[in-house]
Amino acid sequence: MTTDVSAERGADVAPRVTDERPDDGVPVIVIDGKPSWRRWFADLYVYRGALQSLAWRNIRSRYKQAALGMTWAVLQPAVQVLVFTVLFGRMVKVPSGGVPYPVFALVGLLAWNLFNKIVSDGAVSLVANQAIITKLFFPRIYLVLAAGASALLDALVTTVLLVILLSVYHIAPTARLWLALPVLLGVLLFSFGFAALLAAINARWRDVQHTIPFMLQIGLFATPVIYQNSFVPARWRWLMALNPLAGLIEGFRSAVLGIPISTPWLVQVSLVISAVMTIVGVWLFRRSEANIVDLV
Amino acid sequence: MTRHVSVRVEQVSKTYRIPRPNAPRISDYVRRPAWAVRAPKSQVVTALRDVSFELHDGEVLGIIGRNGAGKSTLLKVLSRITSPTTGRVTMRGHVASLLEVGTGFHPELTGRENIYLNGMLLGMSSQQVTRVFDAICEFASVGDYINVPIKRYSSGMQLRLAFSVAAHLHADTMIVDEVLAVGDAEFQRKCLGAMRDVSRDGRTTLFVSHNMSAIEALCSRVIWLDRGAVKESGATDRVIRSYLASAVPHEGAANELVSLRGAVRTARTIGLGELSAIRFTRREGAADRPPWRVAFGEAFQLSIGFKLNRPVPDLIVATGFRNDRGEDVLTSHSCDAADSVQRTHGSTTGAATVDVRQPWLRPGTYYVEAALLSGSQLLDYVSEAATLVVDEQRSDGAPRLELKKGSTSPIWSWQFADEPLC
Repeated sequence: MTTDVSAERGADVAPRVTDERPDDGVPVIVIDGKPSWRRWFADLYVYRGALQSLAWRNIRSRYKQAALGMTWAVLQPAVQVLVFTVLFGRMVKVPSGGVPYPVFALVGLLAWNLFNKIVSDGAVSLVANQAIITKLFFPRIYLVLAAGASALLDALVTTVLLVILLSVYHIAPTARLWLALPVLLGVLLFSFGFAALLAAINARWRDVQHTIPFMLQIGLFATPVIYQNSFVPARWRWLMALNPLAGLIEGFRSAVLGIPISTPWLVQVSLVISAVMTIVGVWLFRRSEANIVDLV
Repeated sequence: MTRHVSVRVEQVSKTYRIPRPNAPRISDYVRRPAWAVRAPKSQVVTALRDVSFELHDGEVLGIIGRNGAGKSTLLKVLSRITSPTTGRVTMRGHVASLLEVGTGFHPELTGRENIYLNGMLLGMSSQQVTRVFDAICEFASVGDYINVPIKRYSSGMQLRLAFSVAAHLHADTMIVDEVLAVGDAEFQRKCLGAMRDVSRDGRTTLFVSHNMSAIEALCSRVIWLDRGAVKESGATDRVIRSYLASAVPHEGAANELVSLRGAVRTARTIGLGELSAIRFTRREGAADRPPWRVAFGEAFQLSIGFKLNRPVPDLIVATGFRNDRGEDVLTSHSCDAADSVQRTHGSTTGAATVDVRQPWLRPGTYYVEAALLSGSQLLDYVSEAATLVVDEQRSDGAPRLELKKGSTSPIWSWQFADEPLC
């Protein structure tokens, strides 16, 4: 503590000051009002630790101080399936393409819940983490991605549940299973793109976060999650093309359960819409990112 | 030794567009056609105005200024939290900012988890955190609490842990806001020490504080921001001196009288009366010392002048001292003591003088408040009427200040006897 302050003070006069930047590999950061896309992607790499940290933080804190802990991740889809099976499988008798209704519903719910959670957590991520983003820099998009981390974990747990259910009903995977990969990728692209878009808007107008819960609730019934696309009258089916999740869930179900797709072009359209949504979402997010702190 | 420019700030300005209180909302457009709604009125607020400076490797730059001068905005621009409206900043190497202690700490997670999460959020890799983990724990002295959720920590402990993580960052440039203001004295000293070590390693530090002694102890150079612009920059002693002198804003440094005519009002009842001025008077000699600057324990007088538009009942004049952490340390009302001389009724101007006989204010900088009341109704209030500096006194019998706690240091007399009580 007994530092010779005067020596330090003198120091800023004595040495020669140079402005040359030697090629010593020290990175140089330039801050101005118009950041480039190149710098944006470079930052994604430089600050990758922040994504890891934020994602881990979300996952670790998720079921803290809950007596059932991770069991909740199993219970939630299990109860959903039970309710839908009783309501739509037994009472309304929704046709499920010859597949036992619980399996049918769980496959749809796996994809739907993934979308649902990424969007509902991602859209509010900027506002919910206001305290962090006003005090610390890292690529803001990581908040949206990290919000999806626990959704992915939940989806993984649901997958385990699904595998158990499939073996109980003796349903073996078919050659179509590979289709699950592009379809799930489509779900992720659409979900994150949509979440980024909503997060950017929500930072400015909180109306978004009030709209999301019931929008998602309506979405669950407007999407063939607990019924098949063919359940929709043929002349209205084109409407389903507007909802990329309709095609994606239909495709996912076909991949896992081996049932034929009623409208194959729907899956392709959905994949294209998902890719477009990602580009639009990220583009809009980045546009509003620079001064998001001033607005949030 | 050659030194490089590690931070260069070139004509940075930052403006905010804030809506006027009565700006039309979307709902107005819903109710009326667009042409019937007056154009949205927003006003532009300038937080930073053409700020330029350079910093070389290993320099510690202090940034001082009154509340709202743009210090925090500058740090936010430098930390990339918000972007400048115009201008450009160039920085060499990795930058770590500590604008608030414990940003991103999660109360439900343990100390260990938070060290990792916080370290990584601040830009370290998990391997880097592992390497300094023990040093962080030792510096923070959290001991066995390391595996306990930090919501069970005392606030001091959380602060120590958070600062430790930041102090062990391997950044080339550190940006530190007023974060030391919270910890206890011992920890503050430790942090200042850690920050000095940082600058000895050739790392550059930018440091914002209201605590002039911390700035004096740490910084080789100081920038004084005033209303968003650099008012003065240069050697620490010189800039601090002119900053403190300016705290007496109107009549100049030599005059102890401060007019409150144009002062910023935070609360006021319009039309009844107002505070006109505040004056500082030293009780005994020592005329060589500047006004509004006293030694620890030195007595002084404050006079507060007022003008009323009409006589009011129960007129009370009050003053108070707020320290640089924003804590109200002492408040005094003219009606407190029974022997206070009450004013004669009927007149509409006057002044009240208070004898501050035992100022138990610890060394530091204080904002002097002035208030005018009628009974419980506040007529006028100026929260920063003047700035008072209390200097440390290191003469014989000086109180052992560094061992004392609390925001005031009373000097009470004690008596000793030979027999223990039991």
